[in-house]
Amino acid sequence: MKRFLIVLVLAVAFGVVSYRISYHCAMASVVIAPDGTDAELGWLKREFSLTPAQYEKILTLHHAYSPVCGGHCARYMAAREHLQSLLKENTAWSPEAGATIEEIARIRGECRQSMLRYAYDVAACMSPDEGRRYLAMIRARILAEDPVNMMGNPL
Amino acid sequence: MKDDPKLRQALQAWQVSPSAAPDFNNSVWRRVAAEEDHGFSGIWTRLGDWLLVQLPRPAYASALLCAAVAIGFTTASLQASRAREHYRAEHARQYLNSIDPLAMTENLPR
Repeated sequence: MKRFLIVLVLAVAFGVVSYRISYHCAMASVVIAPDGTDAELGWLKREFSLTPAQYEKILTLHHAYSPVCGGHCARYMAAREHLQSLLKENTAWSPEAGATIEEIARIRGECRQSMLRYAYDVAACMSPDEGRRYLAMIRARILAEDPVNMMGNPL
Repeated sequence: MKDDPKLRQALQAWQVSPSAAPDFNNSVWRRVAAEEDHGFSGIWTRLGDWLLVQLPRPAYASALLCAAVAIGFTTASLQASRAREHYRAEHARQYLNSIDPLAMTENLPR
Protein backbone atom coordinates (compact mmCIF):
# COMPACT_ATOMS: atom_id res chain seq x y z
CA MET A 1 0.00 0.00 0.00
CA LYS A 2 2.82 2.38 0.93
CA ARG A 3 4.68 1.75 -2.33
CA PHE A 4 1.48 2.25 -4.32
CA LEU A 5 0.91 5.62 -2.64
CA ILE A 6 4.50 6.68 -3.32
CA VAL A 7 4.12 5.81 -7.02
CA LEU A 8 0.80 7.65 -7.15
CA VAL A 9 2.21 10.78 -5.52
CA LEU A 10 5.24 10.69 -7.81
CA ALA A 11 3.02 10.34 -10.90
CA VAL A 12 0.90 13.33 -9.89
CA ALA A 13 4.02 15.37 -9.11
CA PHE A 14 5.64 14.46 -12.46
CA GLY A 15 2.44 15.38 -14.30
CA VAL A 16 2.08 18.75 -12.55
CA VAL A 17 5.74 19.68 -13.00
CA SER A 18 5.76 18.72 -16.68
CA TYR A 19 2.55 20.72 -17.17
CA ARG A 20 3.99 23.82 -15.51
CA ILE A 21 7.28 23.66 -17.41
CA SER A 22 5.61 23.03 -20.75
CA TYR A 23 3.03 25.81 -20.25
CA HIS A 24 5.69 28.27 -19.11
CA CYS A 25 7.89 27.54 -22.14
CA ALA A 26 4.96 27.75 -24.58
CA MET A 27 3.76 31.07 -23.13
CA ALA A 28 7.22 32.64 -22.83
CA SER A 29 6.77 34.54 -26.10
CA VAL A 30 3.39 35.93 -25.09
CA VAL A 31 3.66 39.19 -23.20
CA ILE A 32 0.58 39.81 -21.14
CA ALA A 33 0.87 43.56 -21.06
CA PRO A 34 -1.59 46.02 -19.59
CA ASP A 35 -3.53 48.27 -21.92
CA GLY A 36 -1.41 51.03 -23.37
CA THR A 37 0.05 52.26 -26.60
CA ASP A 38 3.47 50.72 -26.20
CA ALA A 39 2.02 47.35 -25.20
CA GLU A 40 -0.08 47.32 -28.38
CA LEU A 41 2.93 48.27 -30.45
CA GLY A 42 4.86 45.49 -28.74
CA TRP A 43 2.26 43.10 -30.10
CA LEU A 44 2.59 44.72 -33.55
CA LYS A 45 6.35 44.20 -33.42
CA ARG A 46 6.02 40.50 -32.68
CA GLU A 47 3.07 39.83 -34.94
CA PHE A 48 4.63 41.44 -38.02
CA SER A 49 8.25 40.51 -37.22
CA LEU A 50 9.44 44.11 -37.22
CA THR A 51 13.15 44.90 -37.16
CA PRO A 52 14.28 47.48 -34.59
CA ALA A 53 14.59 50.09 -37.35
CA GLN A 54 11.09 49.36 -38.67
CA TYR A 55 9.74 49.44 -35.15
CA GLU A 56 11.30 52.84 -34.47
CA LYS A 57 9.75 54.29 -37.63
CA ILE A 58 6.33 52.88 -36.77
CA LEU A 59 6.64 54.11 -33.20
CA THR A 60 7.26 57.64 -34.51
CA LEU A 61 4.30 57.38 -36.88
CA HIS A 62 2.11 56.04 -34.10
CA HIS A 63 3.04 58.81 -31.68
CA ALA A 64 2.39 61.41 -34.36
CA TYR A 65 -0.96 59.85 -35.25
CA SER A 66 -2.24 59.41 -31.68
CA PRO A 67 -3.15 63.11 -31.10
CA VAL A 68 -4.84 63.25 -34.52
CA CYS A 69 -6.81 60.13 -33.65
CA GLY A 70 -7.71 61.57 -30.25
CA GLY A 71 -8.86 64.81 -31.90
CA HIS A 72 -11.16 62.94 -34.27
CA CYS A 73 -12.48 60.94 -31.36
CA ALA A 74 -13.27 64.11 -29.36
CA ARG A 75 -15.01 65.79 -32.32
CA TYR A 76 -17.02 62.68 -33.08
CA MET A 77 -18.12 62.34 -29.46
CA ALA A 78 -19.10 66.00 -29.26
CA ALA A 79 -21.13 65.81 -32.48
CA ARG A 80 -22.89 62.66 -31.33
CA GLU A 81 -23.76 64.12 -27.96
CA HIS A 82 -25.05 67.25 -29.68
CA LEU A 83 -27.27 65.14 -31.91
CA GLN A 84 -28.52 63.16 -28.92
CA SER A 85 -29.50 66.32 -27.06
CA LEU A 86 -31.20 67.70 -30.19
CA LEU A 87 -33.18 64.50 -30.68
CA LYS A 88 -34.25 64.55 -27.05
CA GLU A 89 -35.36 68.19 -27.17
CA ASN A 90 -36.94 68.35 -30.60
CA THR A 91 -40.36 67.04 -31.40
CA ALA A 92 -40.10 67.94 -35.09
CA TRP A 93 -37.45 67.99 -37.79
CA SER A 94 -34.88 70.75 -37.40
CA PRO A 95 -32.22 71.88 -39.88
CA GLU A 96 -29.73 71.83 -37.01
CA ALA A 97 -30.28 68.10 -36.49
CA GLY A 98 -29.75 67.56 -40.21
CA ALA A 99 -26.54 69.58 -40.11
CA THR A 100 -25.32 67.60 -37.09
CA ILE A 101 -26.00 64.30 -38.86
CA GLU A 102 -24.01 65.55 -41.83
CA GLU A 103 -21.24 66.67 -39.48
CA ILE A 104 -21.11 63.19 -37.88
CA ALA A 105 -20.90 61.55 -41.30
CA ARG A 106 -18.16 63.98 -42.32
CA ILE A 107 -16.14 63.27 -39.15
CA ARG A 108 -16.56 59.53 -39.71
CA GLY A 109 -15.16 59.95 -43.21
CA GLU A 110 -12.24 61.98 -41.92
CA CYS A 111 -11.57 59.33 -39.25
CA ARG A 112 -11.45 56.62 -41.86
CA GLN A 113 -9.24 58.65 -44.17
CA SER A 114 -6.70 59.49 -41.47
CA MET A 115 -6.71 55.91 -40.20
CA LEU A 116 -6.12 54.58 -43.70
CA ARG A 117 -3.33 57.11 -44.32
CA TYR A 118 -1.68 56.02 -41.09
CA ALA A 119 -2.13 52.34 -42.01
CA TYR A 120 -0.54 52.81 -45.45
CA ASP A 121 2.37 54.66 -43.85
CA VAL A 122 2.84 51.87 -41.30
CA ALA A 123 2.58 49.16 -43.97
CA ALA A 124 5.23 50.97 -46.02
CA CYS A 125 7.64 50.58 -43.09
CA MET A 126 7.16 46.78 -43.06
CA SER A 127 8.48 44.12 -45.40
CA PRO A 128 6.19 43.74 -48.46
CA ASP A 129 4.58 40.50 -47.27
CA GLU A 130 3.99 41.71 -43.72
CA GLY A 131 2.74 45.04 -45.07
CA ARG A 132 0.14 43.24 -47.17
CA ARG A 133 -0.93 41.17 -44.18
CA TYR A 134 -1.17 44.30 -42.03
CA LEU A 135 -3.29 46.11 -44.63
CA ALA A 136 -5.55 43.06 -44.91
CA MET A 137 -6.19 43.33 -41.16
CA ILE A 138 -6.97 47.06 -41.45
CA ARG A 139 -9.18 46.45 -44.50
CA ALA A 140 -11.13 43.76 -42.65
CA ARG A 141 -11.64 46.14 -39.75
CA ILE A 142 -12.93 48.95 -41.96
CA LEU A 143 -15.09 46.75 -44.14
CA ALA A 144 -16.59 45.08 -41.08
CA GLU A 145 -18.43 48.36 -40.42
CA ASP A 146 -20.03 48.23 -43.84
CA PRO A 147 -23.58 46.86 -43.40
CA VAL A 148 -22.96 44.55 -46.35
CA ASN A 149 -20.15 42.89 -44.37
CA MET A 150 -21.70 42.93 -40.91
CA MET A 151 -21.25 39.18 -40.70
CA GLY A 152 -17.54 39.36 -41.42
CA ASN A 153 -14.69 38.90 -38.97
CA PRO A 154 -13.93 42.19 -37.19
CA LEU A 155 -10.24 41.35 -37.41
CA MET B 1 -0.37 -61.52 -8.98
CA LYS B 2 0.52 -58.97 -11.53
CA ASP B 3 0.52 -61.55 -14.24
CA ASP B 4 -2.72 -63.10 -13.18
CA PRO B 5 -4.81 -63.24 -16.39
CA LYS B 6 -8.08 -63.55 -14.51
CA LEU B 7 -7.39 -60.52 -12.48
CA ARG B 8 -6.34 -58.59 -15.56
CA GLN B 9 -9.50 -59.58 -17.36
CA ALA B 10 -11.60 -58.61 -14.38
CA LEU B 11 -9.92 -55.23 -14.16
CA GLN B 12 -10.43 -54.60 -17.86
CA ALA B 13 -14.08 -55.43 -17.63
CA TRP B 14 -14.60 -53.33 -14.52
CA GLN B 15 -16.48 -50.12 -15.12
CA VAL B 16 -17.37 -47.57 -12.55
CA SER B 17 -20.52 -45.55 -13.18
CA PRO B 18 -21.20 -43.52 -10.07
CA SER B 19 -24.52 -41.78 -9.88
CA ALA B 20 -24.53 -38.00 -9.47
CA ALA B 21 -25.24 -36.56 -6.08
CA PRO B 22 -28.93 -35.75 -5.73
CA ASP B 23 -28.35 -31.94 -5.56
CA PHE B 24 -25.49 -31.83 -8.07
CA ASN B 25 -27.21 -29.81 -10.85
CA ASN B 26 -28.75 -27.33 -8.46
CA SER B 27 -25.48 -26.73 -6.67
CA VAL B 28 -23.69 -26.08 -9.97
CA TRP B 29 -26.29 -23.54 -11.01
CA ARG B 30 -26.15 -21.93 -7.59
CA ARG B 31 -22.38 -21.50 -7.90
CA VAL B 32 -22.74 -20.05 -11.42
CA ALA B 33 -25.32 -17.55 -10.19
CA ALA B 34 -23.16 -16.64 -7.19
CA GLU B 35 -20.16 -16.02 -9.48
CA GLU B 36 -22.27 -13.78 -11.70
CA ASP B 37 -23.50 -11.83 -8.68
CA HIS B 38 -19.98 -11.26 -7.46
CA GLY B 39 -18.47 -10.60 -10.94
CA PHE B 40 -18.49 -6.81 -10.63
CA SER B 41 -16.97 -6.73 -7.19
CA GLY B 42 -14.53 -9.37 -8.35
CA ILE B 43 -13.23 -7.03 -11.02
CA TRP B 44 -12.64 -4.35 -8.42
CA THR B 45 -10.93 -6.80 -6.14
CA ARG B 46 -8.62 -7.91 -8.93
CA LEU B 47 -7.97 -4.31 -9.95
CA GLY B 48 -7.18 -3.37 -6.36
CA ASP B 49 -4.80 -6.28 -6.07
CA TRP B 50 -3.10 -5.28 -9.33
CA LEU B 51 -2.73 -1.67 -8.22
CA LEU B 52 -1.28 -2.60 -4.85
CA VAL B 53 0.93 -5.45 -5.98
CA GLN B 54 1.85 -4.99 -9.65
CA LEU B 55 1.83 -1.23 -10.14
CA PRO B 56 4.61 -0.44 -7.66
CA ARG B 57 6.93 -2.72 -9.63
CA PRO B 58 9.59 -0.75 -11.54
CA ALA B 59 8.30 -1.58 -15.04
CA TYR B 60 4.73 -0.45 -14.39
CA ALA B 61 5.74 2.44 -12.13
CA SER B 62 8.10 3.93 -14.72
CA ALA B 63 5.43 3.51 -17.42
CA LEU B 64 2.96 5.37 -15.20
CA LEU B 65 5.43 8.21 -14.61
CA CYS B 66 6.11 8.49 -18.35
CA ALA B 67 2.36 8.61 -19.01
CA ALA B 68 1.93 11.33 -16.36
CA VAL B 69 4.66 13.43 -17.98
CA ALA B 70 3.16 12.92 -21.44
CA ILE B 71 -0.31 13.90 -20.22
CA GLY B 72 1.14 16.98 -18.50
CA PHE B 73 2.97 18.11 -21.64
CA THR B 74 0.02 17.48 -23.93
CA THR B 75 -2.49 19.26 -21.71
CA ALA B 76 -0.15 22.23 -21.28
CA SER B 77 0.49 22.46 -25.02
CA LEU B 78 -3.21 22.48 -25.83
CA GLN B 79 -4.03 25.05 -23.18
CA ALA B 80 -1.07 27.26 -24.13
CA SER B 81 -2.09 27.12 -27.76
CA ARG B 82 -5.60 28.30 -26.89
CA ALA B 83 -4.26 31.00 -24.56
CA ARG B 84 -1.79 32.25 -27.21
CA GLU B 85 -4.59 32.54 -29.76
CA HIS B 86 -6.74 34.39 -27.24
CA TYR B 87 -3.98 36.89 -26.40
CA ARG B 88 -3.16 37.34 -30.07
CA ALA B 89 -6.76 38.25 -30.90
CA GLU B 90 -7.01 40.46 -27.83
CA HIS B 91 -3.82 42.39 -28.67
CA ALA B 92 -4.93 42.80 -32.28
CA ARG B 93 -8.25 44.17 -31.07
CA GLN B 94 -6.51 46.56 -28.66
CA TYR B 95 -4.17 47.79 -31.38
CA LEU B 96 -7.00 48.36 -33.84
CA ASN B 97 -9.00 50.18 -31.17
CA SER B 98 -6.01 52.38 -30.43
CA ILE B 99 -5.80 53.60 -34.05
CA ASP B 100 -9.52 53.76 -34.74
CA PRO B 101 -11.13 57.01 -33.50
CA LEU B 102 -14.60 55.55 -33.90
CA ALA B 103 -13.73 52.53 -31.76
CA MET B 104 -12.26 54.89 -29.17
CA THR B 105 -15.64 56.56 -28.78
CA GLU B 106 -17.19 53.15 -28.08
CA ASN B 107 -14.73 52.58 -25.24
CA LEU B 108 -15.26 55.93 -23.56
CA PRO B 109 -17.68 56.16 -20.61
CA ARG B 110 -20.90 57.91 -21.52
